[in-house]
Amino acid sequence: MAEESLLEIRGLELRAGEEVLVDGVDLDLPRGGSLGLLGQSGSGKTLTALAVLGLLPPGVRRVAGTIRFDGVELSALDEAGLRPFRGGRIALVFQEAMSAFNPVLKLGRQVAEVLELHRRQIDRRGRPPEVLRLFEEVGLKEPERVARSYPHELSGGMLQRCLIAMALAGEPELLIADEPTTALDVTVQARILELVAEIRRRRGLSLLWISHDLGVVARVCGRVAVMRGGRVLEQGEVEQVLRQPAHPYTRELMAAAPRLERSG
Amino acid sequence: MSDGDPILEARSLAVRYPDQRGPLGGVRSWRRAVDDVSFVVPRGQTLALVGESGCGKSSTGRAILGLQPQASGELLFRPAGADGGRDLLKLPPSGWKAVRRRIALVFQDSGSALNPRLKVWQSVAEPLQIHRLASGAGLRRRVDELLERVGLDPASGERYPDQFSGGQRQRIGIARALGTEPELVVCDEIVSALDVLVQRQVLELLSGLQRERGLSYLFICHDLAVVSGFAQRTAVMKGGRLAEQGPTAEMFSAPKQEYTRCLLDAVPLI
Repeated sequence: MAEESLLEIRGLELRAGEEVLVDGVDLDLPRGGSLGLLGQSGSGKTLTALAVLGLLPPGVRRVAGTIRFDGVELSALDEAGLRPFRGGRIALVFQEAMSAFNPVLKLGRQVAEVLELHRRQIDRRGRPPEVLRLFEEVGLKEPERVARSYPHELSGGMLQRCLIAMALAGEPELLIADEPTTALDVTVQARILELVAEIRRRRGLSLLWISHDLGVVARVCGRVAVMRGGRVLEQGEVEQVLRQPAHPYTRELMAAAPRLERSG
Repeated sequence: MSDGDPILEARSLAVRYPDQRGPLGGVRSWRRAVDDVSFVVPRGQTLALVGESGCGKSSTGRAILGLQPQASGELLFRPAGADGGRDLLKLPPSGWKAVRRRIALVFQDSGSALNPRLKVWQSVAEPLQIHRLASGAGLRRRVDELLERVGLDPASGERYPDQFSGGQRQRIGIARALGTEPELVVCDEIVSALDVLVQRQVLELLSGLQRERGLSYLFICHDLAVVSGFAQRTAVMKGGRLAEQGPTAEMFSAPKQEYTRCLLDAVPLI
C-alpha cells in the first residue's frame, strides 16, 4: 500500500427496514487527503458520512461493512467508545449553521464547551484565549464581539465560520463537512472554501466533503466519489474524473454543473 | 403588442422600511432597501435580478405584487390588450384582484407554502376558484391539464404535499401559478434549494412555458450560474441599488462593474 488510509470504509450497507439506502460502499481517504462525496439528494452520501460517527438517524441501521479510522474499527465501538472521536478526532460541520448551535448560549461559551470535552490539557483560565484564537483562525474580525454574541446576531457566513472554529476546537484529524456552503451567497461561499483549503494546508487536516455541486467539490477536493442510489458509481482524482468520466451519470452531472455562458 | 415591448417597467423604484421607532411607535428613521432602481422586463423574456442576501432583490419582487406598502417611484404594468401601463404603486385596493390574475408568484419553498391538509389538486384549483375561472368537472379537468403540463401525473393530485420531492413541489407551485394564465411570473429563488439535475429540469420547464405561452419572468436569484443561459437580460443589485444591467451573455463576458466581476469569479466552475 502506497499511502496509509486514515479512513477506510468497506462494504458499507445501510437499511431502513427492508429498504437498502447504502449498498456496498467502499471509500478510502488517505491521511492529509481530501475526498468529495458527490451526489444528489437521496444518493446516500450524508448517511455514509453519518455512519462514520455512528450518528445514523432512528430507523436506519448498518447491516454490513466496516469503518476503520486510523486503525481503529469505529463500527465495532459503542457510544462510550465513539465519544473521543465525535467532535474530537473527527469533527462534523453541517449546512445549517444556525441549527448546529444552541440558540440561547453565547458562541464563546459553546466553543469553550468543546475545549472542556476534548482538550482537557487546557484549564478553565486557558479556555477563553483559546476560543478567541480559534475565532481569529477562521478569519472572524472581532473575536471578542463574536464570543459575546448569540447565534441569531450573526450573518450566515459568520456563523458558518464559528461552526468551523467549533469543529477545530477539538483538534480533529478528519473534518467531515456536509454541504456547509450550500445556503450561502456565492461570494461568501468562495471565501469559506478558501478558508477550508487554507486550514487544511496549515493543519494537515483530512477532509471528507459532501456536496451535490461538482464545482464546489472541484475547488476543495483532490479526489471524488460519485454516488447514486446508495452506490459509488466511480471514484478517482478529481481532474481524472472530470477529464474522462467513466460513468454516464457523472457526464450528466458535469453537463448540469454551473457554467457561465458568455458571448463572443 | 409584440415580443420585446416592456410588460413591466420600474422607474426609480424605492422601498423603505422603518429603521428606528420613537417611544410611541412613530417611525423616527427609515432604511432604504431599494433605492432608485429602474429596469424593464421585456414581454416574453426573462429579466434576472441577481445579488447577494440583503441587496434588495426580494423587496423589489414584493413591491411588484403589492406587498410592499412603503414603495415609491413607478411600476408600470402593461398586460396584453391594455392601453398604456397601469402604475401598480397607485393601484387602488379594488384594482388588485384583476392584476393579480396576470402576475403570479412562485417562491423558493413553494412546498411549504402549500396547505399541507389540502390534496395537491385542491391547492392548484384554489386560484381558479378565487378568480371564478372554472368549476365542477371543468375545474378538475383544468387542474389535471396544469399538473400534466408541469410534468406531474394528474393522478398524483390526490396526494398531499409532503409526499412529493422538492423538485416536484416546485412543479406544483408552478402549476398553481399558471392557472390564472398570468403574463408575468415573479420567481423568487425558485431553484436555489434544488439539486443541480432537478434545477436544470425546472429551468427547462420554465423555458418551455415561456416559448409556448409567451410568459415573461422576473427571475430573482443569487446564483449567476443559474441565470446564465436562462435569462436574456440580467440586472445586478448591490446595497439596494442597481450596479449594472444588460443582456446576460454580454455582461458575463465583459462585466463593466468590479462588483459584477467579483460575483462571476466566485462561481465555482468545473
